[in-house]
Amino acid sequence: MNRNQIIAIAAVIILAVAGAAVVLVTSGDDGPSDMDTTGRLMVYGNATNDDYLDNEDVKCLEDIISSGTWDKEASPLADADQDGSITEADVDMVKRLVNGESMTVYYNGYSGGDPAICKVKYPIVNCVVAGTNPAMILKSIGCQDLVVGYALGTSPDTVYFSDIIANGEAVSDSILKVDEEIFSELGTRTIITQDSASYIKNESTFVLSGADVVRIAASNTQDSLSSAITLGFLMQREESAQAYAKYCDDLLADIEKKLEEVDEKVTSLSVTMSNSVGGTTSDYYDATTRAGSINIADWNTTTQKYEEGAEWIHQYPAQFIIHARTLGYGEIDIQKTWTSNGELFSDTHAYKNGNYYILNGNIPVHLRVAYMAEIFYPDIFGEGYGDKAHQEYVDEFLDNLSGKYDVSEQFVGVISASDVS
Amino acid sequence: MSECNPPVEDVESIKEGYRKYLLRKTLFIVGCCIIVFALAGVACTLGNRDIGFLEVYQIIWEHIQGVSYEPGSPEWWDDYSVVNIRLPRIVMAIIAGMGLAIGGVAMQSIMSNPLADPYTTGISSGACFGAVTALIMGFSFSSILGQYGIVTNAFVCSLVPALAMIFISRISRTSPATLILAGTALSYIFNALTTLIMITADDEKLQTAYLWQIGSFEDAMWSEIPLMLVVTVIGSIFLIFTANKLNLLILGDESAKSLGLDASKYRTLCLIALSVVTASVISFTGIIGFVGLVVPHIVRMILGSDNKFLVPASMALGAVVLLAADLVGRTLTEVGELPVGLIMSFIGGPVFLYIILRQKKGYGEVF
Repeated sequence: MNRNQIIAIAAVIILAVAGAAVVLVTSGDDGPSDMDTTGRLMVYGNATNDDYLDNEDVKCLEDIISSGTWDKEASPLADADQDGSITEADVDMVKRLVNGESMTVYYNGYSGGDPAICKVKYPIVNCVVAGTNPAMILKSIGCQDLVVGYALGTSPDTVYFSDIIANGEAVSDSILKVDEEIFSELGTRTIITQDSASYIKNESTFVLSGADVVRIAASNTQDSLSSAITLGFLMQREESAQAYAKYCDDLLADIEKKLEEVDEKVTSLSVTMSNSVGGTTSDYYDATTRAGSINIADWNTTTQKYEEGAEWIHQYPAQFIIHARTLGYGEIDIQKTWTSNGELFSDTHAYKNGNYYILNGNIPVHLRVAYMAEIFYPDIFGEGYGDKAHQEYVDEFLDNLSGKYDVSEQFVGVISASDVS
Repeated sequence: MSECNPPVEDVESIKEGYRKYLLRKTLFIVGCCIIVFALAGVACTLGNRDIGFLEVYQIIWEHIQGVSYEPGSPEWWDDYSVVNIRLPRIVMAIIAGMGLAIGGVAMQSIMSNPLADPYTTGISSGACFGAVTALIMGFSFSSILGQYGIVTNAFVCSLVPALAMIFISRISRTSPATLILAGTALSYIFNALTTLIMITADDEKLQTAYLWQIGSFEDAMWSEIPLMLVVTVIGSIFLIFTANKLNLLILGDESAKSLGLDASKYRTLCLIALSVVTASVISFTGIIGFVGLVVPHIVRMILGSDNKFLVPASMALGAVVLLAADLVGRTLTEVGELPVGLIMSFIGGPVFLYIILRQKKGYGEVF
């Protein structure tokens, strides 16, 4: 090989390395757009149907206009102004949205408990939050400083929600209600709550006053991420919302990958509140299946009540029962919690085999999946898998607890028969 | 001038005495109405928005005149808070006070018994049973559950013992005392059924059911007012216009008959009227005790036993008492509020005891 050939090869290598570096660097400049394209930003104008609203959407809309054909399957959210057609007005609206200008935007939300196209004033500069799951999402995407009022029940988790409680005002002692008069004094025009119609039954009052009630699905693994990304956009916290979504995606991907090692799946049932056994439409049903178990509930209602002495539960001899309870980040009387919840299920197959577990439900749904996966397959996930994922979440996304809260020491994620006498 | 005519001075003095008699009664009723008006103003200032006493009346006046504001503006919220959040509660307290008080007057008169109250027929026990059935078992007579299911159940079930009483009174021509005993028996039956359901309930439902029974005006809405109002107005008109017959009934069935009153038929009509009035009130508010028992006694002490005045005066005082009790319940504690039913039990018991002990007449001679 002569000298010229060596120089030519070296030049090619240098160019290739430089080119790769340029690609890597410029992909970083483009923002997180290339990270994910799963279509979870539910705001109209998201023509590319990904997780972001950016110039790509403007370009996509222009292409639709120039081609004269709108593929509604590929771009279901393209019609930004909801007038039924794609015009320059949509392009203009998306351009202004990309620039963060104030306007009314349309999004896929919920009305009366059912999915619906809703509108909200953009950006949401502050809000009242009703319900622990929506409040968790707001904290996870770094919007806790925008919460001026909260409805988190009679005894909210003062550790997890310490910042919201310190900065906001309680608007009700029930998670289902917002006091109109307190709301009127808070200087906000937005309430963020759960999709279910049982939350904020007095919605009509707020609508009359010109306020927006934003209803989000917050307890299902996929929907809660879509809600996080959508809220992140509406509240102009896209970056932190995308970071949270990425963390959850990575966690679920890791769980999924580990689950490939499972030879035989375990069976499970999920329970919420004191005795509500989750059916196929329950969020906990979804969580148990994502954690790699076969949930053997076969009823289509969200939950089915199990009363003491009822025989029906014995027709579902699940290996595991996961009983989710609102326990919070504070101190817990483990023995008392076990007795008061477990007694009812002491006759079940799972309980007798030591496979009845109480899961602390006051955590994002993805972490619940991690804890459940550890319960179902301890050999594959290893001891402390849930706590490790949880610690990462606390340190990265909870400003008030980051670096101060040791999950493995302070948090009771799971209570099992071995934890009690 | 005939010799049997009294002297002119005596006639004038009788007329003067009657004028004073009328004035006293009118003043009492007007005074109660003024107190209700003032208490309503005070009650309207209670809430999470800072709205002053006089401002309240101004807001209501402007609302009546049809003044409108930009949605979401402070004026809009003031108007909304007073008219849609605070006033329904106050109006409900006034109507409930009036309804339960006339129920008490009517029941004490038709039973000729000072211990009778609107719940003597077992209405409250029936209402409790109905509400508990909806709250714990999820069963409702209406197609919808929730708040309206509870109201429907309470209303329907409260009329069951009342209808049983009416039926008993019609078929057996029993004495008032027997009717009271029958009402007590029916109460026991419904109480037993209520207890039976409650012992099967979980803690949460048990608490809800128990709280319902205490009686409260919290979360009152305009949509709940029309039924209460219409029934109470009809019931009170009936009792006011037949007050003379009610007076005759107090004399006893035989005396009433000799004066041309079909005592049994009129008693049945009164029972129907007061049962429907009481049921329409308690199905929305829960059980509020002592109003129907104490208020008529206080009015009798001040104005006498003429039902022509006793009925409207009791209505006015009933409104004052319940409005004041609700106000006390809302201001007594810094956090939350005490249900009006609890306040009435605290106040009603000692007041009733005081009235009984203060009576110079023998027990039962109050009539």
